[in-house]
Amino acid sequence: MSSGKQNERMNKFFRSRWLLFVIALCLFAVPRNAEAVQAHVEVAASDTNFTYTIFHDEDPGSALILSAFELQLDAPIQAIQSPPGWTFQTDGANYVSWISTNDTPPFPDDVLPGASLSGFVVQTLVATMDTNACAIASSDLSTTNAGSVFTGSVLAPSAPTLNPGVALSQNAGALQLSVTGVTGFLYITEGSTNLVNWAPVTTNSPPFVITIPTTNPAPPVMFFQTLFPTTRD
Amino acid sequence: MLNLLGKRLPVRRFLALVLLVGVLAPGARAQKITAVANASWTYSGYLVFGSSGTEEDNLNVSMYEQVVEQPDTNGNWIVVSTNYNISVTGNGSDPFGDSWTWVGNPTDSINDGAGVQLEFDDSNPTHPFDFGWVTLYLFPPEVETDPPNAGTLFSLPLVNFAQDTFTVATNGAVSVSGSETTNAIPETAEGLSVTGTGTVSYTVTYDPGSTKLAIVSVQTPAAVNGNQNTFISSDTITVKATVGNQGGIPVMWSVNGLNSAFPGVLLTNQMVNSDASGNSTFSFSPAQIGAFPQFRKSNFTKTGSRAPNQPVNFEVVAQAQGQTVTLSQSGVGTLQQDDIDTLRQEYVDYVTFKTSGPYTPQRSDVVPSLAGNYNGGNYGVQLAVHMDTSFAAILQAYQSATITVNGVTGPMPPAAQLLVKSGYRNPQRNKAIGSKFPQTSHHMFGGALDLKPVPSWVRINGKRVWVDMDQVLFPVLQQAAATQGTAISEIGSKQVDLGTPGENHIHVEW
Repeated sequence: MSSGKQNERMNKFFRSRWLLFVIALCLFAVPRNAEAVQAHVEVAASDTNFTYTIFHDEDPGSALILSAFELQLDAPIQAIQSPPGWTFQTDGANYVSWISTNDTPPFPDDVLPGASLSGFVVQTLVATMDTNACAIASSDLSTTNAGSVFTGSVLAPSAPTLNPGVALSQNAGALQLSVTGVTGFLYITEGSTNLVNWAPVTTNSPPFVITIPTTNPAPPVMFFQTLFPTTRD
Repeated sequence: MLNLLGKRLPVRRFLALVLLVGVLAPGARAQKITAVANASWTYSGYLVFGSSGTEEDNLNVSMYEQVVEQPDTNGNWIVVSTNYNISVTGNGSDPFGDSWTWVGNPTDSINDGAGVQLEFDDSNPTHPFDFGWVTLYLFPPEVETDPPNAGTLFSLPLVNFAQDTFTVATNGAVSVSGSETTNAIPETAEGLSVTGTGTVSYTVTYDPGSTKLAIVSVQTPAAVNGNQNTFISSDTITVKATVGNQGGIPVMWSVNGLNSAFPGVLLTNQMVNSDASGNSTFSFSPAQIGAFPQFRKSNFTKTGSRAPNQPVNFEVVAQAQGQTVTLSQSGVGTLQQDDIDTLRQEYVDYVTFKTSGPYTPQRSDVVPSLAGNYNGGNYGVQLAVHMDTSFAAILQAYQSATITVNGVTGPMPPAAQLLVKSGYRNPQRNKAIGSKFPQTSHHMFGGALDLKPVPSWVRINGKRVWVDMDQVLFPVLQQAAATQGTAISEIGSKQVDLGTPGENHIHVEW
């Protein structure tokens, strides 16, 4: 093989490899999550329980598997069940994040394309529900990296109105504040003598009664406010 | 021809008709005008009983007709009443020698189509044919038949008016009068000979003391769906009525709420005199009327709601000189909020304000719901101040961050995603979920997002390691969000230090 032909072949080889490299760069430059993993969520509500099922809607040949389920809500809840191999994190009022705990590919507890997984259960004392945000995160078996994420909405427990109600009454000469609200949430009652500086008086789940504390000598004016600690701005 | 129990009684065309219709000149304003036309005829003749041609004298027929017309709301003249009276007198004897006398003075309407019924009395029948009561019917000429249809003698043509045109002055008490003479048809025929002259006289009277009250326009800052005039309570609503061309006529205005958005009377007995052109222009702003803001505050700001409010819907009533008209009947339009103004009304109800002062969004600030979770409100419309583009910028910064997990530093997974926990919230929704800032929350203005990281993981030593939410993802999100505005970590509405366990979102506002 002459060196000229060899050089020509090498040039062709490098040109083709260079082309492949450029293509590969382009592939890397396009975020894999530009298109969300195809998935959806269904919910079955029964009495106090909300049971969620996630569905993997990708074709069987997809390298993506479902690894996490994020649920937003607006009510006091308890996450009472997770699918086998999954665990959760929650603040008890605003979100539950379920993740698959198996850390080694091919992550056998994850959800394969075309399959579904149920067993995500939250329990609440609130009988009402509303549409809220949710997400399903995937893992990419082809790269063993985090895959794209589906974001959507689904019915979730939702307290109708969280604002506290406060009524003032007198009992045996003592003033009492009766606080109402959504049972299961913690409401903070604060007191102030100047409407500027507030100090916690009590934190409780309604309904509850506060006997207004007295001091000696009694302050000339005492203000009270009851807050819902997880209210939003 | 008349056939009475086998006896032929020819009757000829008997009558000529009346009358006039007044037509307003083009451009003339419709007023309360009454046109009255009177017509009368007298006839005399004779009757013939049977084919022998026996004539009976002393038959006199007189007819009187009055037609009253008024213009309708479109200015077209319409007949409002017609009185028709015929009297017949006469006596004689029939071919059998029995005497007869016309009786009765029947009155009938020409418009009922039943014809006019006359009667005569065969008071003392001695012949084999007992006439008893005999009915005479009159045929119009065009339907007269020979032999005639038994039982129907005459029916007046329904429309046979002379057409006259009147020009009615509009500036005072005017009467137009005139007369015309119509030659009755001088026919002499077998049986009844008709002679004489009919006279028609008419008068048109104009009563300036009476007015035609009508609501002619309603105006708010915006109209939708053709004639739905939409508004918020701080807007000025203007309704105009006409009372003709009379100035100084008092018009009493009232405004009523039509549904639970504001039920009952808002205003009553608001007097506005008509101007020189006869227009009474009434303006009101619901927010300036104490009952309205008080009701709205008591019923639409206390607890909030997760459903859209009912739109405010008003009925306006005008009264003048014994007449009452309503906006809903006028056809000029309705007063009802559309979705955009129903939403904007919430800002008026809550008296929302920004740092710069009180704030109520303009209609142009309200846009259709953005795709995704940006609209957490109760309506299909929302406020959005570059909400989606800010989110895109935050996400890009988030995905471009560098993170450290288990001591290993590397790039944030490019697929890492954020969840919009809360974007836009209308004031009622904002209140319902327990906002501490029901008047100032940036979420109500479309200038805030509550964001939460979606769980993500990195590969370390071939293992999947979930990135710590509190210690890693939230701080990265806070930094990314800070590129677009003020970003803080919160538990509910309580600001907490970044990384605090239980933090549930990053609030960013701009």
